[in-house]
Amino acid sequence: MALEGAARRFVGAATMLAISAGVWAQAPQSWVTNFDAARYGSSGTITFNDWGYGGPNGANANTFAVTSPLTGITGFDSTRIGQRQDVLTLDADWKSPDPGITVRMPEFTPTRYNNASQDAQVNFYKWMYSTVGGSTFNNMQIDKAGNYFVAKSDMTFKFYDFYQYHDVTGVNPDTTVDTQINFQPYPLSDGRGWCGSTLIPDPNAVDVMAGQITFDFAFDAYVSNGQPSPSGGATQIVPGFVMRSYGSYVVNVSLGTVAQYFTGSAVMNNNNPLLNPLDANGQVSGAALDPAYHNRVSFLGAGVVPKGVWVTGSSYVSPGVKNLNPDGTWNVQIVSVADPLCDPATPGTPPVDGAVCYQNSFAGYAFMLRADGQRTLTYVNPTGHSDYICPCWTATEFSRITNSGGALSCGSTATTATIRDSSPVQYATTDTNPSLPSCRFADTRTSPVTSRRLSGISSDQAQVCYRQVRQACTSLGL
Amino acid sequence: MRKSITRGSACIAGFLLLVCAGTTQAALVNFTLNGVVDGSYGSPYGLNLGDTITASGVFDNSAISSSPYTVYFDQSHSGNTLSITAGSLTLNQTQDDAYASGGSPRFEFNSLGNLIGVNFGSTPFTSGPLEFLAEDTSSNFATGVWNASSFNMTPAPVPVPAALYLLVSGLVGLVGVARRYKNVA
Repeated sequence: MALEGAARRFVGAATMLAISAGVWAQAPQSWVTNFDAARYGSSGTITFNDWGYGGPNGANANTFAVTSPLTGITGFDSTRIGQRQDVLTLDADWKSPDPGITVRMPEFTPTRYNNASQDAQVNFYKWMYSTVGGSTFNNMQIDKAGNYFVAKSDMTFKFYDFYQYHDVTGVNPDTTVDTQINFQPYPLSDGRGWCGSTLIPDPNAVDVMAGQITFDFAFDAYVSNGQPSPSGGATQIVPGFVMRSYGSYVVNVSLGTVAQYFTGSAVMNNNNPLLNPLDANGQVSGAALDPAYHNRVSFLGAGVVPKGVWVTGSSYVSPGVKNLNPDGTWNVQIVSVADPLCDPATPGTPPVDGAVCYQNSFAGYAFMLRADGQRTLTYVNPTGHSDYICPCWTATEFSRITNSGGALSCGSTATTATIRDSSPVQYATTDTNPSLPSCRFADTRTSPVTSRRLSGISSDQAQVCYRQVRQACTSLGL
Repeated sequence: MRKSITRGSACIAGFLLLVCAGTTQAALVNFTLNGVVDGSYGSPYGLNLGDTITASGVFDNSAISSSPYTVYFDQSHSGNTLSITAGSLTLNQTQDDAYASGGSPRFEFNSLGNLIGVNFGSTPFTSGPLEFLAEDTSSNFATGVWNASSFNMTPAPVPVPAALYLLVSGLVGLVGVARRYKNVA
């Protein structure tokens, strides 16, 4: 059962290398979502490539609740807020990793747009729309484990009522197109997800980070160039929409004879959108980091409007009459998305008494929404923003010990833990004693030598250090 | 019958006073502990590979036998003293960063009474659990490990003033008992 020393060290070193080199150093993975005609009226797939980027504590593209390694609590913990941030969408600056495309919109005039920039644009069916500045995601709370929570009331969306054409080749002049069919999106639930800023020492640094949130949303369609009105529009309900600030999408969904094929890439925080963020393996490398784009981000999400959604009876004031908010948005409560199938043609048995199968008039329409944004970090907890950051060392520094290949030794008690190499001298230790939690790091392999001692760190921070040392020692079989 | 009980109680009280005179401070022990330098970068405080460092002092060993099996050398345990000598570096418990706030420095033991942690926190000398690191102002380092098997405790001499007071108190008590017994008889 016992591994040979060298093999044991190799296994441990490999484990620590994966930790130290950053969570983004994973093999890129594709996440495919299938859409069937019975549920959506269209069929096909949306494929998300995660660029090898993952979230805290093993979170991935399908994870929306993180378990704290310190408390064991899964999901957002409002008692352990590590950061708060606001994001404000910006007008397109026509800098995008996505190529120019040919847009054909036979319903609008003119009908064809060559080499159209996709920056901050929205693909919807055959059409294009533009995300404009002014949409807000305020008070985005991130707990120390990395869980996002954005209250429904803190998300606002600007009206989509035109398409701004910009020719990436510069041949044709910029043109604003009145799309005639306009949309007002709004959230129907709080947003939840994870944020990778918990994986870096300084969440406000020009560093690799990204995240994702999911929420239910609706958009009211106003035809004939209608504008938002207290009497509301034709509501389309999209449960479980996901927005990500990393990765790329391929939407390939057919609605009858119409091929809805869109591709798009996010721009991670602090990245220059014109630089390739990926290495030869298709993994996020940090190569696109650029201080000129500090806290800039371009997130995107894609989906398909389902045929129908079960909503509560209280979403109506009377049969067929929606319970509208004063601004015309629908005060609707989703009951169930998946089961039983909500097909307005054959609604079947409601999941709960009184539930109504609401029909989306744009069923089967695929979309991909992009938005350029500016992030402002409004709060960083002085006791530590993360369950993954020991203030005495970075992951890279710590890995210099664990991967040293030297004769490492470990020691621990209930309150203290140390890992060290005697030749050359490398040393990492922490004391979680509540009277004055502390940590200490030294490495004589660096030039100049690294020496750091912090006393009076928070108990959470000391626990993070302790956990990292213990995990490393366990991985090394020490 | 009542007098007999009273006499008995008085005898026990007197005896306890005498016994207490000998045991009240008996938990105090002198200790010594050695550690060995097994790695160095330069020679901080003159320390080189194979050099021995020492810790010594006095503590109340009753803390070893009950959870959390920890001996504190903080302000609230002023009878406990700790001195560490590592080459030319000499530190006492007051030079630990946490001394003022309590808790550390401290010795940690397991439930079997074995030393498992020597915790001392300062920039020139950090220790914990049994591993230590010394650093001088020129960024020279020495590291090593405390040898738990070298840990040695010997009963500390009873402080004379306290011993005398208790001994006299005990004797006075016994004399009183004897006289009372004589009167009754």
